[in-house]
Amino acid sequence: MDTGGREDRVCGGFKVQGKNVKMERRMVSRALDELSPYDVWGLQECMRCGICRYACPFWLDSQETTDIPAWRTYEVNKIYSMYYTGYGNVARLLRLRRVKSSEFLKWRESSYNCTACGACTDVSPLEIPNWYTAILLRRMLHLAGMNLEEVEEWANNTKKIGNPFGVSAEQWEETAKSAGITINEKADILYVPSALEAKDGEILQQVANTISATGEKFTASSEVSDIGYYSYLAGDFETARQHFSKILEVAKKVEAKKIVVSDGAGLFFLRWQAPKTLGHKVDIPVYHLTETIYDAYKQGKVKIEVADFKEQITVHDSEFMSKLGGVEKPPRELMKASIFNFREPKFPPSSHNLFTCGHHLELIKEKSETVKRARAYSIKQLASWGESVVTFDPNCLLSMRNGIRDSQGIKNAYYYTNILEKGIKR
Amino acid sequence: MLPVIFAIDASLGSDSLYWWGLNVIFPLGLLIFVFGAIYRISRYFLGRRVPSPALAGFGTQFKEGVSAIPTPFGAAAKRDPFIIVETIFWHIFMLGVVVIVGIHILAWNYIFGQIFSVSNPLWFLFKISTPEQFTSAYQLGLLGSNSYSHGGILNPLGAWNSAEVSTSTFDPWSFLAVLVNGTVMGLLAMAGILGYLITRIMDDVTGHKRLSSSGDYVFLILLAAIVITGLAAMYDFQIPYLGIPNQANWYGLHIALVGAFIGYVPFSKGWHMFGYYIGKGMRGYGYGRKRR
Repeated sequence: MDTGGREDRVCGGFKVQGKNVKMERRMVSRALDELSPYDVWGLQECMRCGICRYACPFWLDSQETTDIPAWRTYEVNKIYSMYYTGYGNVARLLRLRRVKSSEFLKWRESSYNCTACGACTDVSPLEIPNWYTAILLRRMLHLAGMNLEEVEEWANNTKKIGNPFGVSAEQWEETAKSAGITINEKADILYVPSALEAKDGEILQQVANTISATGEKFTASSEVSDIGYYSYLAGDFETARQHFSKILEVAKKVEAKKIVVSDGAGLFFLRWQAPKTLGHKVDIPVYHLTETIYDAYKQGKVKIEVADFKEQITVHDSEFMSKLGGVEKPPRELMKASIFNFREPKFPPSSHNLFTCGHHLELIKEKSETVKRARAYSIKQLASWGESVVTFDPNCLLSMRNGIRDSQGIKNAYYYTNILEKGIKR
Repeated sequence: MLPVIFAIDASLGSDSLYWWGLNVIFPLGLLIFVFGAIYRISRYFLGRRVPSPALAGFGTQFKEGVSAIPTPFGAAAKRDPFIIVETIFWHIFMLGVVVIVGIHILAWNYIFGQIFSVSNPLWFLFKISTPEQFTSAYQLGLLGSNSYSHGGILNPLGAWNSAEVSTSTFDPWSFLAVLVNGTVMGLLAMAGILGYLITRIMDDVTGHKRLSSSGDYVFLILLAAIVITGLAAMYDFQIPYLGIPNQANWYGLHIALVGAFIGYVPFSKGWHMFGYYIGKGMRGYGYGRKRR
């Protein structure tokens, strides 16, 4: 199994000793084992002007220092500098620079008051990757054994059975087959669902019908019922690497020419984060379903007709697919073509002005109250454009549905496959 | 220390601060800056653990880099307009002071001329520069026929004779010179830097944005000291027992602080004056920057 040359070895750790935290070099080295020059640049250059906070609903809600995205970068930079810079090493040895235990304990709260949406990076004058430093803090919590239990379960389940929510290969295969998805066959397209999608037969059926309309042969794998990003978001990069590698191996096995995902976050992680964390290029191209359909639509292979949805529908763009992943046009254009009363948001899909939803944090019970308050910013914004919302990521769908449950301002939430399946014609 | 002082023929006279500032601290600051800059840039690559291929071409990066400039202003405009005022006061007016105030042009013209062996490399700035400080330094004797009495290995101020100065004191700003001069711009820049200092202290004390390190304060205080000593040199602030001639020492202190600042830049947040542009170049390495 290719883990990018990084072994899953046990090392020292973070130890709370009195008022301070003792860190072993090996632990720090392992925690920061996939920094790129851009990341190092980002850690070092943050001016701490604090403008990033205005794009973050978590800070807007709490107004706490520890919820400022730059605070997380400050913390990671402190650790980075203590072990990787000349004066930082000296300052550490002279005990002028250290991490206090009270500070360390705040990481647990702070790193999960962030969906890693990337708005803070977009708004930053220096474009500091604060979203990534939140994940690095989670990684240190994971390595220190102080991570949130529910989140650790995602990583453990992925490691043991390949699915963060405990869906077994047999269960997945059954759901996929009943949704009309062929399994383990040779095909041009390998379809990889995310864990939330793999549980939902309805979504799988919509995906199957949509891809079928393009006339391309596709398959899924009984071994892959998740993309692997839940482990990554839990800070367990080793498990995520193993999972990303497994997907690439399976793609080779079925002789796929491309991988298609239907989850916005999945696209970002498999297309952009997998090559980075694995430390090598991914040979096979990765597409989001909307990209594949949009290409087919542009080439005249399929037609998009107006689907039978009469209400005012706006879009909640996927934070990961659009803001971080760069896919802007296909999702919105397809929705424009298939929704009768489409209400386009005021801002482009990758704009920092679009607030994040609760995304994967919706799955963490411990965070439910915080997430509810932060989610309100996104829903209020969306409700000003339309009465219902379409999403491109199952985590976003869950968040919108929770918003409806909490009566935060929208009437209905749809997954884009639901609309696309009805609008697409051969 | 004494042998060094004798070896370099250091000035121990009443205006020794000027000599030390100009001939020792300032060039030392430049030297530290060069090594510091190499160290800082190399850290991006030495500290990295995985290679990261560029994902967008130069054209995309440039376009996005430019279009991203107003973004933070837009975000701050609604919720923190004061930071924009501070930023404009500090950056625009300080840049103005350095670029168009005559004595700075003289200094940089001389230093760059020496470094690159080019005569008057900043000739194009002469005619747009403000004349205020020419006069001040000229009257003091730092410029003009007897200027070499203060000179040393760099001696930018003494490099100009009175004839050159007199041809460069043309004032293109007309009545605008009431505003476009070193004093007013220096004071506005000072207002910006004080704004930064006060808001940082307030944020730290109230806990709204407790993100400061001691280096942040050192950096801001150093900047404030540079502006204050610059104004002090121009107006010859009188402080008893500081030495005679007092004004030369103010210039010396000002130049020494600038030297210290330049040397400190690669190790401080001051690096963002370069890092900002390097960051725009790094955009292509960001995820998914190739928009579709």
